[in-house]
Amino acid sequence: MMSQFLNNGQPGVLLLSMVPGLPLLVAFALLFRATRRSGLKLAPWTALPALAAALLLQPGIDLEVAWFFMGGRMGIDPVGRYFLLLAALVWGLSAWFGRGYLRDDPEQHRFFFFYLLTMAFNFGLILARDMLGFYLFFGMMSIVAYGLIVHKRSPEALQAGRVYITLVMAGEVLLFAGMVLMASSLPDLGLSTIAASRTGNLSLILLFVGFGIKAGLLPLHVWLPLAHPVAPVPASAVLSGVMIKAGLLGWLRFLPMGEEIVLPGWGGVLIVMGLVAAFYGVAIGLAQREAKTILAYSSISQMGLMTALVGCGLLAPNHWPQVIMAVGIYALHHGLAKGSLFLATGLGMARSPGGAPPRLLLLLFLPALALAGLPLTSGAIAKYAMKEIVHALPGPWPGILGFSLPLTALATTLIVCHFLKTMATALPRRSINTRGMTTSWFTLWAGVALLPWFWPEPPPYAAHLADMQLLRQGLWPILAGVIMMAAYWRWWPAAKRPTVPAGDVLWLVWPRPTPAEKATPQAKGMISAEPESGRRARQLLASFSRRGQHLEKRLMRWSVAGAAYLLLCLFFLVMLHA
Amino acid sequence: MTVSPALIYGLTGLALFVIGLAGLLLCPQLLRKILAVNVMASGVFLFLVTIAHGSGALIDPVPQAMVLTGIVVSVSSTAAALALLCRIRENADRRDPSQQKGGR
Amino acid sequence: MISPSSSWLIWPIIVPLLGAVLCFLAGKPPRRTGLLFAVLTGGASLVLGWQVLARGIESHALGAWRPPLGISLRADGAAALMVTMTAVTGLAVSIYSGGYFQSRLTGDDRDRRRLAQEQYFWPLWLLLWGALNGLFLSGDVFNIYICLELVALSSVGLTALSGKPPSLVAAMRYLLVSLLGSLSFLLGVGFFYKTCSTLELAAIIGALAPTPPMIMALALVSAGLLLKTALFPFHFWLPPAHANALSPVSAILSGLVIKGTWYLFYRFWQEEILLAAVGALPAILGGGAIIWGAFQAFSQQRLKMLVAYSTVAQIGYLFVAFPLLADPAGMGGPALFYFAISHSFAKGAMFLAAGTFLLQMGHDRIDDLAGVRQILPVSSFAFALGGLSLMGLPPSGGFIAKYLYVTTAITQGRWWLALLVVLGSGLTAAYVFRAVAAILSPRLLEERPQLAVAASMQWSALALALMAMLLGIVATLPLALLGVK
Repeated sequence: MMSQFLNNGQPGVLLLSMVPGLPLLVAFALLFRATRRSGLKLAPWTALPALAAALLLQPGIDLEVAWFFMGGRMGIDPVGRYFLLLAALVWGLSAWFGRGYLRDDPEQHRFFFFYLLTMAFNFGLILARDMLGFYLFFGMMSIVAYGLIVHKRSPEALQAGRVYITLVMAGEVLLFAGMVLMASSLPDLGLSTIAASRTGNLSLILLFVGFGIKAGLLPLHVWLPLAHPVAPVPASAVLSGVMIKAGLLGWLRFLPMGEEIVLPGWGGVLIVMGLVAAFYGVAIGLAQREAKTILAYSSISQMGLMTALVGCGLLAPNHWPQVIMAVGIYALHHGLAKGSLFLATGLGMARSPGGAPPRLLLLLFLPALALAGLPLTSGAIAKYAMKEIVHALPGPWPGILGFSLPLTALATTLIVCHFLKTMATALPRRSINTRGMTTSWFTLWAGVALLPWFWPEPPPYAAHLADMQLLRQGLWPILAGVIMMAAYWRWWPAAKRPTVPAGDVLWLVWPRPTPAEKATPQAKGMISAEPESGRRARQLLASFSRRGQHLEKRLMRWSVAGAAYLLLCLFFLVMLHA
Repeated sequence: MTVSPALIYGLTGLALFVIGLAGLLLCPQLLRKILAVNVMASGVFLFLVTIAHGSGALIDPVPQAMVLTGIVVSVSSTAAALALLCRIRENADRRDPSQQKGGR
Repeated sequence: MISPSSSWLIWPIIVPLLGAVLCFLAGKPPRRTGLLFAVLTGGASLVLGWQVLARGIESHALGAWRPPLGISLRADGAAALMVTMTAVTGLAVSIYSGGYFQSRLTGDDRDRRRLAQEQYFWPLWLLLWGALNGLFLSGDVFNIYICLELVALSSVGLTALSGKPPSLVAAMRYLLVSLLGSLSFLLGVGFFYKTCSTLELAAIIGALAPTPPMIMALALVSAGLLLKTALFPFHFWLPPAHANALSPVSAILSGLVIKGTWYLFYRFWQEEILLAAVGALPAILGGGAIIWGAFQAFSQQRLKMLVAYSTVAQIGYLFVAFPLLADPAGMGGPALFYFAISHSFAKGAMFLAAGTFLLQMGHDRIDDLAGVRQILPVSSFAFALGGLSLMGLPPSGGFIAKYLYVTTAITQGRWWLALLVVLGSGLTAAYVFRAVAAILSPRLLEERPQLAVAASMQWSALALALMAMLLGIVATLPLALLGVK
């Protein structure tokens, strides 16, 4: 009844425009002292229109906004619906959590200003139905999220912010180049036109890498493990839970799909890259000591699986609709589970001195093991959706994936066990007043627990939840993983366990601040002191610019400018005469 | 080949323009530059007057009107330039009385 | 006579000229009169823009004398767009100036100087505004010459207003260059008249042909206009003049004045015949400007110098796309104009914001500006937004312009142009980041100095920066206005 009312023209359009509009409005209310308090109170509720739209609006509603950005189009399609549901839940609940988490932060209005803007743009990109709109929202979301990452203004945060913004800018350039290349061969810029078209490989590569930066594609994942630990907890939750999925959505929207294999070879490359990322993320993640960094590496690994899934779609074009669905399901499942894990790191679940771990820690097993595909959880549905597609692949792929997918589940088990252990043994930092935080966290947790049973639109695989064979298939990697981890802890001395700095391969190319530089007082609050290589580059640049200024002084002379004037006159005369 | 007076005037005008241009570009002193611009302007006006006579016995009033307006513009811009020059000299004198050359 | 239905073509010219006279006659600093006439001029310009959008081309013969004898005014979409752009930037600058001359510096001597400055600022600025509108709307080349001279003289006056030695020297150089440019233009007009026997711009453009006097005329006119627009390598007068002027004046010079001569150049050069022959020349010089200007901007130590050199680079963009005007789909012109207006707003906002920093801190050395955003958060934000538009990031007007440039260039197969524009964006990002990183750096100031800047200054800078953003979001409106031909 309600849904019928909404899908009937005007009200639906209104709801759709409120999805990004309301958070934007409240964000601007935060700028002014008079409306700041009420703006902060409203912040968590601004995700409600998005939730309503995801649950009530029928796919297919399309809204033309002719005045917007050279003619914009917004609407909901089936895969967008999954992403919108995920975004609404995680953004809204994290905002609720953040109200409590940042209660004592004098700058909390600044945090929520950036938070709401990023959220509005994230919703906007999910709803966008044309190329420029998608690019616009994607770019703005990426840029504004910088404010979330550097919120604490610590040297580490600023360093992470620099890495992030550099990669974002590089991504923007790649995306822009890819899109204009694509646009010049298209009759119009609607996403449906793009889906049906075929463009040159160059523009596809540009788009693939450009979106890959956001999706944590190897080796461009380096901003993720740096940004997550330094951002406030609610920001890390949405960063890992929702925002990196925007890159995935970008792939789904812009890579070609259809009846035939458009990009031979690409599918295989994507699958291999995805599998490598899945194992690489776990391997590096196991060598981390910080809970949020471990989760960031787990996200890289999970995004690898989703990359592989997109690769499957390119190999089996006739199954593209199912693939899109499977990616949507996987993204929803992972986003909720990862979001709840991230929020948990803010609850201070560490063991009180001498006591046992708090009982809340037991609840964490559910989202953690759901990531590994524990039967009867959302993870099982996601894995099942993935297996369905693997069977349809040509060539050797079903064999390869059939072998490696259980191994990825095992790897995921290892990393979530590592995470749980880190959570349980970490020293309590301070006594945290968790008022308001526990409720929102528990709501998200409940979402993870209930998702498989109240699936928004039950796909056929939900019925297979309790299938005995699937139970067995899902259980053994987890059992094996737990046993391996237990053995590791029991027999491998803690002092000899390997560590890798967060950001891994980044430090091969990025100047790294030495510990001495980090500790100097002027580094506090300032952009951290420059390393040696940076100084040398600056000297080179300075000498270069001195030479340039010398030349500019010559250009400034009357005689030079006058000669140029005469030459120009002569040139015009000669050229026009010819 | 007969050389019509119009051609002579026209070429003289253009020559004045070029002479003025050379002065503007090559003289370092500001006052000379201002005068050079005036020479250029005279050249242009002479050229315009020639055009008025060019087409035949009838004298076209439009270029003459242009010259009149142009002279007004030229006078006012020269005035502005001279005022500016005086201000620059004053400043230069105040800063360094020994150096009387003025800014370039 | 003044009613919404009759043509408002003359009011954007007459109102500011009248205001200039009244302001000049007023004894004390005419802030109220100046602001009133600024608002009236802006309003009249916006009405004209709306009229052209709604009813198509407006034209008017002054004193009911028809061409070729009389002087005609004509507003097509492009002219109306430029007038509207001038109105928006002009209004922001006027409101800013209201606060700028109010802000008291220490010492009686400086206060007196401020008063004297304000006394001349308003008449000169309104005169400049009227002359610019005349330039855009005039359909007669000699009238255009007069407007050019008026623009030049009032700009020079405004440049010299600060009274400091560097600005006087810069103003002198500016004046001489302008005179050379306008005399060159006038000589060209003479040649035009010799061949066409008319001064009407449309008739002259219609009669363009490769005959010797016509070529001579075109060469002189083009060279003169390029000199006045400060296209590389003629930029030698621009950075000192723009950077040493008072801050509202810098915004006017960079945001508006150079667009006037650029617009005239466009009027002559949109014809196929010219583009085919030497269309590559403005593009090559423009490419040089983009690279050289960005490089120089990056090596500057002072913020206003950086912004001024950024203007040198951005002028390059205004010319680099001239070959695109031959686009069969007709997207070359919109790309150029979109760039011009978004640059006007963004650069205006940046100069206005830089002015607040200069006033507050007493200097504009980029490396010592850290912490300024704690005192001036609004104008720091405005500066950053303006920078985003210059870089061409979405959703700014600069992004739309760059998008139009690159797509048109690719469809025409001009890869070098697309690459140059993208490279230019990267260079722009480099120098904008250098400035923005200093301004937004989180260093804490030891003590919080007293606020020396009026709120209206910060907010007018932000308003202009937001206009640059809005241009991207409602891109269809200016494009529709441009479509009126």
